[in-house]
Amino acid sequence: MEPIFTNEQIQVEELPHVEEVLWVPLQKKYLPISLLSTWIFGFVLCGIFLAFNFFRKNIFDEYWIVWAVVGGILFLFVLISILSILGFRHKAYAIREHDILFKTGLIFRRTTALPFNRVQHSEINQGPIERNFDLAQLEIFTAGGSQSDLTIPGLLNEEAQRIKAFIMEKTRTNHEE
Amino acid sequence: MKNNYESLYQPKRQSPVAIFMFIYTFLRRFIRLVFPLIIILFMGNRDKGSILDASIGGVAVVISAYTLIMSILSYFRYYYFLDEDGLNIHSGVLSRKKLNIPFERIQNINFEQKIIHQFFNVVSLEIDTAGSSKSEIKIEALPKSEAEAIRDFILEKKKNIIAESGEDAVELQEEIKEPDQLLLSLNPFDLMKVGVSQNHIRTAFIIMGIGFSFMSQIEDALDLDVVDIATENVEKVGSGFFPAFILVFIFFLFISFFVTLIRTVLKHFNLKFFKSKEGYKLTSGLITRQEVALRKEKVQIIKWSDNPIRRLFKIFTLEIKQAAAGVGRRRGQSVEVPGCYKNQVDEVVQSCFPEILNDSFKEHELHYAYVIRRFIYQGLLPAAIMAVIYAISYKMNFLILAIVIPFLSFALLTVYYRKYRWMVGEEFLKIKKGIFSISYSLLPYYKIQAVEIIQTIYQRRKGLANLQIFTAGGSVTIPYIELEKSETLRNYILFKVESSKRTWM
Repeated sequence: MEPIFTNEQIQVEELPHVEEVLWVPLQKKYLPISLLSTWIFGFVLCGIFLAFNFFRKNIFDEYWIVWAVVGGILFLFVLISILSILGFRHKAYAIREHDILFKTGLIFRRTTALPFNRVQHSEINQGPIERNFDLAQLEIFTAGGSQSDLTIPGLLNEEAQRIKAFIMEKTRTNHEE
Repeated sequence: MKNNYESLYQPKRQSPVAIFMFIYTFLRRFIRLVFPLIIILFMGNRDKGSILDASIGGVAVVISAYTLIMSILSYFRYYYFLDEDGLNIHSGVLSRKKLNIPFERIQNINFEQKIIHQFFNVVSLEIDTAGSSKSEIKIEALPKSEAEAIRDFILEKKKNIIAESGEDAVELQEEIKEPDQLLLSLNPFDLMKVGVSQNHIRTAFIIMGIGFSFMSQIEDALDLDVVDIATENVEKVGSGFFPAFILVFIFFLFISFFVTLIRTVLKHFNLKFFKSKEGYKLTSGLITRQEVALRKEKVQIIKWSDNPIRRLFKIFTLEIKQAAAGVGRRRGQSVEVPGCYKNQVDEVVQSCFPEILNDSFKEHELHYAYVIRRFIYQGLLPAAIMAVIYAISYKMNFLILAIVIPFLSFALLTVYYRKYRWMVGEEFLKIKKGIFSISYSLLPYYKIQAVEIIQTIYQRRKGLANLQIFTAGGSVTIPYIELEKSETLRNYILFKVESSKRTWM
């Protein structure tokens, strides 16, 4: 490949390579828990739909339409589940000295790199189910819109706390310099 | 100097004009709240002079009285003043609210003059703050001189805070007073050029969309088939679907031409673009006059673009994208300066990013797979759909579309591919793209805040990737480049960002 840059002082080949990083997979128990919350949502959706039909029978006269819709919703959730099962092993993160990396996606594989000196603040979120299993997700915010914000799910609560503290430390020293 | 600011420490009310603004705000909030109710009342069938009518009248009187009283009370209970730490606003009729905005959190101060403001020679003052989602504070009406005094005071305070935190204080003080340099002002003739060279085709489509939905509303109301009547008449002139469509389109193009001309005049009337030591200032507008200030260090991306007509006039539209204040806020992010000549574009670019003069760019193309893949989705797929419709309906129009679409799509994609260049410099990334309208985006590496490499299944097989680059003022994407190149550029960007200690917003 032809060299992209003409820069005498910095050899591009000697720059740290993201590709060589050791990826840390998400917690294994995150998969069943995320599936659980997906399906709770799915069943609630079906439940609401069925309840509507029960109380107001004149929406759909034919019962088969009602069940077809429910079947459709359930099929959609089966599809979502399959995708998240297959996609799970592609989700991983890595923390380097100056940035945090996250990769995700089954069909669209994306790798995001976020330098610490561009982080505005970070947050730890725990849903009710996640809390029971000691899981948490870390949200890292950048400036200007939410486009480049990064969310890393499926971390142990303690792990998330430690990363957050590390990022805070990093951003603080950056501001002081 | 300081004596002039003394009066700013005293709690003060706004200009009485603010009462109108309060009335407007109250009414708007209220109408939004009860909007469905109003529709039901006016649409429903009812007898004249019924109790309902009388009660509606009563309610209307009560609402008007309430709005008026609340607006006046709001005005009398609204105070603003400055102190050593920041700007204070005390407000609220029933529950008192005390707001303190520290100087260091203030990002931007802009003025706006609606027509009513202009009439009384007052401005509204908008303050952007960082870090919170509710990031906009607005003082509805105050004398222009007062607003300017507040802005100068805040800017000076901010400067002192920066100086105290250990940066070059001497240099900062030197640059305080230097008159703004007028870079560009649009006279009526320039304004005409800008108006004429707008994208009328796009506006025509938008107006057509609005036009059709409006017509269908009239149709529903009058129980008529306006579109049918219209097309029938048009079809008498031309024959068949295509000529009729083209005639309608030309009609809308004509309307669009005048609408955009009027819009351009309203928006950019008497536009003046200044360069100051800290950044840029833009004032414009006929009915609503606005003044926007940009700080150099907040500028993230500079973009300039032309189109065939603008090329004739040799003018560009300049867009300066700055870091948005607050979280999840998108409005007010970029400033558009139409009607710039190339030397004015260069002037802005060089004053904002002085390092550009020493930078040399290396040009790169996209991978040809871009054309092939896009052709499948934008050319072959629609053509196949049209062919299927033709097979069912036997209407010639669809057959023509099925044949024309692939050729058109292939031609456009090829032009796009041929013109696309991404240019890698030592400090800057530049992207040139477009089919009819060519745009250039320029951004310095050190302002980038995230980099993403995205690969579809197809791209993985071919060793290609999309590179998406995020800044605090928006993102740019380079599609279909070699994975290796994208990774090299990513690593280089990360190195540039992480080794940079400059403020980037």
